[in-house]
Amino acid sequence: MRNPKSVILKALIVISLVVFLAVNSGAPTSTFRVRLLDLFSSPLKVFSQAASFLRSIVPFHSLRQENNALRGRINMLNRQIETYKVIQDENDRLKNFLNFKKAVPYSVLPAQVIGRDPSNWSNTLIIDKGLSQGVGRNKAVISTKGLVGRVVELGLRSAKILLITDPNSKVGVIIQRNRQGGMLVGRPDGKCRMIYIALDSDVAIGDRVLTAGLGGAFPKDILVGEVSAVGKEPGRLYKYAVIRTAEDLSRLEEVLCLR
Amino acid sequence: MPSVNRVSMYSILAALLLLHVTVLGHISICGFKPDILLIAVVFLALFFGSGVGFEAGIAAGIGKDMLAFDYMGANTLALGLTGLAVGAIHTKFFKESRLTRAVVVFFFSAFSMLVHLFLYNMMSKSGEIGFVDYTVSPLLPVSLYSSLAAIPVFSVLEGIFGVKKPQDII
Repeated sequence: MRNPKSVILKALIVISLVVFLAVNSGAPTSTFRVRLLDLFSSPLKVFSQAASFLRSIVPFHSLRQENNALRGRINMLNRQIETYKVIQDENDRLKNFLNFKKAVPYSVLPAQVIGRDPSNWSNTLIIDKGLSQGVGRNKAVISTKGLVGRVVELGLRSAKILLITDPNSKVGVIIQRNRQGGMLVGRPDGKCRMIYIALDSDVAIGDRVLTAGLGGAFPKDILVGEVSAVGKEPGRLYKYAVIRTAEDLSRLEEVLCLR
Repeated sequence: MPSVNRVSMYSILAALLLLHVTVLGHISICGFKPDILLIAVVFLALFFGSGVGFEAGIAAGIGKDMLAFDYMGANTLALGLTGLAVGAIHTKFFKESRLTRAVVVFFFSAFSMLVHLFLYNMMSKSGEIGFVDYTVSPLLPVSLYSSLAAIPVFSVLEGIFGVKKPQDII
C-alpha cells in the first residue's frame, strides 16, 4: 500500500527541483555543475595519483584500463567544454545587453524575467525588479531588439509587464518609411495588429514599425517590428497590418525597464 | 464516489500553477502552451465528481487570476464552470481510455476558453474579439496541445491521487 503523504512529498520534491532547474536555466545550472566538478577535483586528483602509483608498482596493469581512464577524461573534458559554451553564450548575450544599455538614450534598468502568464489568454511577464529598484508604473519596457510592453502592476521587488501582444495593450505607432500613424493592438493568439491605417496609405510588407511617442508611456522611435501582412476588414474604413514583433516575446529572459 | 485528499489536491494545484508560470513557457509551440491547470481540474472532476471539480476549478482559477493580467474572476469562473460541467457528465465517459481522456480535455479546454471569450467580450470596453479568429487561434491549438499533454499529466495525477490505471482500449 502506498503512503499518499510520501507520494506527495516525492512529487513536491521533484517539482521543486524541476522549478529550481527551470528558474536557474542556462548559466547558473552550469555554474552549479562546474562547482560540483571543482568539489570532486581534489578526490579525483588523489585517486588519479594513487592509480598511477599502483600502475607503476603493478607490472600487469593493462592498456585497456588506461584506455578507459583516458576515455573517461575525454568525456569529462567534453562535458566541461559544453559547460563553457553555455557560459560563453550567456556572456555574449549579457555583453550585447550591456552595450545596448550604454547606447540607448534613456535611463534603463535591466531585469530578469521570473515568470510568465499562467493563461493562454493574456500575455504578461513577471520581472524581478520593482518599486524599490526604481521601476515605475506604466513605464515602457524594451529589449535589445525592440519594444516589449509596459509595467502594469508594481510590487516592491517585482513587477508585471503587459506585453504588446496582449489584447489589452494599445500603443500609438508609425510606419518608419512614410510616418503613417496607427494603433498597435494585441491579439489573443500572441500576434499584434496595427489598426486605423488610412485606406489610401501606402503600407507594404517589410515596413518597419516604430512607436509614435504619443500618450507619454512609450518614448518615440522605439522599434516595434515589421509588417508581415496587410488587409482590410470588411465594413471598416481603415486598413490593418499584421506586425511581426522585433523580439520573440515568448523567449525573453532579460528586459530593460525605462525610468 | 471516492473522496479526494484536500491537502494533496491544493498542493498539486499550487505546484502546477508554479510550473505553469515558470517552466511551461519553455515548451511553448508558436507561443501556445498546454493548460496543465485545466487538465488537473478535468482529471479531478472526472474521477471525484462535480463537487471536487468545481472546487478545484475555483481554486485553480483564483491562482490564475492572481498571476495573470486579466479581468479578475474570469479564470475563476471559466475553470469553476469547466470543473462543474465535467463532473456533471463524468459517468457518461469510459474514462479509463486514454483516447477518451484526450478528447474530453480537448472539448473542455475549448469550452473553458469559450466561456473566457464570452466574459471578455462582455466586460471589455475596447472592442470585441471575433469568434472565428479566436477559434482558429488560440482556441484550437491550445486545446489540441492540452489534450496531448493530458495523457502524461493524467498518468502522473493517477499516481498521486491513487486512482485506477488506464486501459489501452481505444
